[in-house]
Amino acid sequence: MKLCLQMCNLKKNGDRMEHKDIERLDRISAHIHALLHNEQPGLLDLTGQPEDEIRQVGEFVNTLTEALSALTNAAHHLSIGDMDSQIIAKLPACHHLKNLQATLRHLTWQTGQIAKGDFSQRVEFLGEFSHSFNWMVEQLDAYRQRILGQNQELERLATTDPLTGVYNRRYFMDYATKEFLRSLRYSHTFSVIQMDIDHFKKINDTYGHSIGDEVLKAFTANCLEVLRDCDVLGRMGGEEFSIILPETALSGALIVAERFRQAIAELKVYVDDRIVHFTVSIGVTNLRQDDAGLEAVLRRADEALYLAKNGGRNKVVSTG
Amino acid sequence: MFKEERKSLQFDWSHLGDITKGRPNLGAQTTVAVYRLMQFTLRDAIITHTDVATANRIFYDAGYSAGSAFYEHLLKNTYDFDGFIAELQETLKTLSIGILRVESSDLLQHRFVLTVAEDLDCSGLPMNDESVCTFDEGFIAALFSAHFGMKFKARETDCWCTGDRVCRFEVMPANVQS
Repeated sequence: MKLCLQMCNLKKNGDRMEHKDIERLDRISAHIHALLHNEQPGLLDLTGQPEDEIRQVGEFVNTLTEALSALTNAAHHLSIGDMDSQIIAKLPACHHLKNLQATLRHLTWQTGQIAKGDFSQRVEFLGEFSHSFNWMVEQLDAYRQRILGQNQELERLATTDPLTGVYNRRYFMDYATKEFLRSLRYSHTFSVIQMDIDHFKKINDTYGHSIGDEVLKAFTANCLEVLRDCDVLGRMGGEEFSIILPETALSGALIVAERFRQAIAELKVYVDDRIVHFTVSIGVTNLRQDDAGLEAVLRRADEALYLAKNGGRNKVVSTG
Repeated sequence: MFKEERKSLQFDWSHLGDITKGRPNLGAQTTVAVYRLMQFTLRDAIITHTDVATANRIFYDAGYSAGSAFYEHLLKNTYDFDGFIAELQETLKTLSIGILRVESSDLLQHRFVLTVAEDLDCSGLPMNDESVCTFDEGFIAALFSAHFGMKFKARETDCWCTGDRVCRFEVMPANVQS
């Protein structure tokens, strides 16, 4: 450029420069002007030119043109989100664009990770963008946790009895159906216990429904203490409860049932200055390999419960 | 221990010694310039005495040995890839080795592209169209080999010295044609 200016001064002075050299310099000047004014002039045609200083300047200008073209191309691709373009670094500015490209590639990977549920992703060393991005991920994670919590609560409300907290009839029947099919498929067994609190209507009539509710809660709490984690207790309605005992033969179920009966018979529910005693009738059965469906098992358990009721209540009866 | 003739690598983490005990006043830190002084004079001498290819093999093997020991002693050996990367990022940052980022990860094909910004070996070096992070290649290969329990190789495809602003490594199983 210094040489160019020197020659321009010579040109201004008007002597010692040939016309063709002035033309060559004019073309170089016009090319630089075009570059500076955001035009894309292509490369200077230096074909046939002598190997002199003017040609050297032209070659420098062509190198600069190529570098600026690469820079423009790189910036354009990045601006439209194309992160796969090759950035051929000939200027320091291209280095920074390559850095930006690497950063964007990593951000793309990170957003993919977040979409897959990895909310530990954080961006560092990108100033205000880091702060915003990280805050967004934290908020997304918090929102997700809230939604999960709400879903769990909805699930709980849909499957449990609001008074006692044990499973409701719908959940119990779904579970029992699955257990029935599983046991048949693998030739395993399970047992069913049907329970009905004795004279529950009388408790309600004598003490009021709120005390009747306390009785139900105390009953289920006692049952849960005896049951294993895999056993499922469901409230079928009113004062009727059922239990599925997976992988349990009739003999084992009878032991559990008798334990219930005894515990309930000894249970005292204290309400204000009153003590409420009550008993439970229990019917027990187990799966038979020739059972056509779950209904057959439940019907047998109901029959056993009926026998317990008719046999004096506060009893365990089985139909194996 | 340090001067015996040998035919296979014998580095052990215990060879680093008890730095706290040995440097009660100067402490355990030094500068990147001191680290590079050691590495590049060593590289210079090895190339002078042997050749470039041999020097590259030596640095790769040394890096691999370092990476294996690093994984064993400094990482929790988590089985989860995301946890491995997160822990590795944090450890490399804490030790000022570099800022590790993932550009792509294919857990089925076991192919990965990583970048390391502010790399300890090369960031700020003069541009000379050479990828110089051979030690890092071995180091990264060893980390992945230790994590996945299969042999990996790593190849630097971009480096500060080639004009990039991050070092980019392709990592893949050792038996794959790259």
